[in-house]
Amino acid sequence: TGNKILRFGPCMISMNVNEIRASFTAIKATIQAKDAIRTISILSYPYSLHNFNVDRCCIIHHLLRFYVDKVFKHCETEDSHVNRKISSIANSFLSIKKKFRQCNEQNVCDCGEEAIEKYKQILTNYGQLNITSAAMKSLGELDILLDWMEKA
Amino acid sequence: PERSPLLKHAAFSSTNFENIFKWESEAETPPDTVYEVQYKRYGDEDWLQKSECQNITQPFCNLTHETENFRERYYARVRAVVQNCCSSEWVCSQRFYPREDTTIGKPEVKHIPSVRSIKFFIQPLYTPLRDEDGSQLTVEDIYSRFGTIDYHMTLFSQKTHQEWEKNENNKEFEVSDLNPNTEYNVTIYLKHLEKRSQPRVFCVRTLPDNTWL
Repeated sequence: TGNKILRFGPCMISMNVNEIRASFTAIKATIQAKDAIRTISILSYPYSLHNFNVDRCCIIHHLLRFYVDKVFKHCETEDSHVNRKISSIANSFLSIKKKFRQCNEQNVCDCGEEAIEKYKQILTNYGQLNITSAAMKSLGELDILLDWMEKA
Repeated sequence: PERSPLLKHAAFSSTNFENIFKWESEAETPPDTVYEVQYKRYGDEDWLQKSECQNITQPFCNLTHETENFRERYYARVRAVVQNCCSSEWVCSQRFYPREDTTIGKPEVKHIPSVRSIKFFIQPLYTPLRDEDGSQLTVEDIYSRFGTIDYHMTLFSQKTHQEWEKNENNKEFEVSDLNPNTEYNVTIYLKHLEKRSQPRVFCVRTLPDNTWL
């Protein structure tokens, strides 16, 4: 089925990252082309997510909610093919989020100061733009999140 | 009056992490047109000048070392300048992510045929990048940090229409139980997660069986 088990601290979540990645790759050029602001990044330099390796459980918990609540719903485009891919990715995130909730009920996702600071930085980056631009930029950086999620 | 030429298709062309920024200009470009190239890391404030690519006439610029952090994303842009006239708009590349966007070139393969088997030795695929200690990095060095690397091989005999398919994670392997004095078409490529290298395609003939002479 292409599902893979990814570890985030105490939580081991099964998900089909390749399917999400394939959906994203299909729309990446279109979405990134809509993001003309190259001086600000949500998850990349200078606060690159891939350099962050503590409290993975806390970070992924917050980022799943971030993408579901603050990104996907603000990413409507004029292209129905792109919209279908976005909703397919959003549905995958919703199912991962549900699995996370189940794990979270049994285990405590530690949120240390660093992780809280990291998430605040992401929100700060997001807050520098209007909602549509910030959401489109965040969606265009989904590969950064997927790379980080797959890091062992 | 003269006007600045239009530029198009500004994009990175990358193989084994050698990252070349290329562009095209429309047919009627004034002869004294030169180009200026800038680049930046995605998320950085400022565009940086690529000093060797200021006032150049060729339609490409090597940005390998400016984009060597294969975990980051980059942009490059170019404009045309016509002496004593004007300059074009900046034309920007797509977001460039070396780790995903580079093409993995054909692997180099040495082979030693015997009567009923062939040994294959896959050579390292070198990149222009160097490790902290200065050693040259191979494509395998880089991608093995993110997941496994396999070598996929198919071997096909025109004469018998037999086909072998092998997935190896070793750079040296042998295919046995072949027919003597037979030509085989071989295709080998490197596989990493969803990424594949260009295929190396060649023929190799097993040795004749002289034991009965």
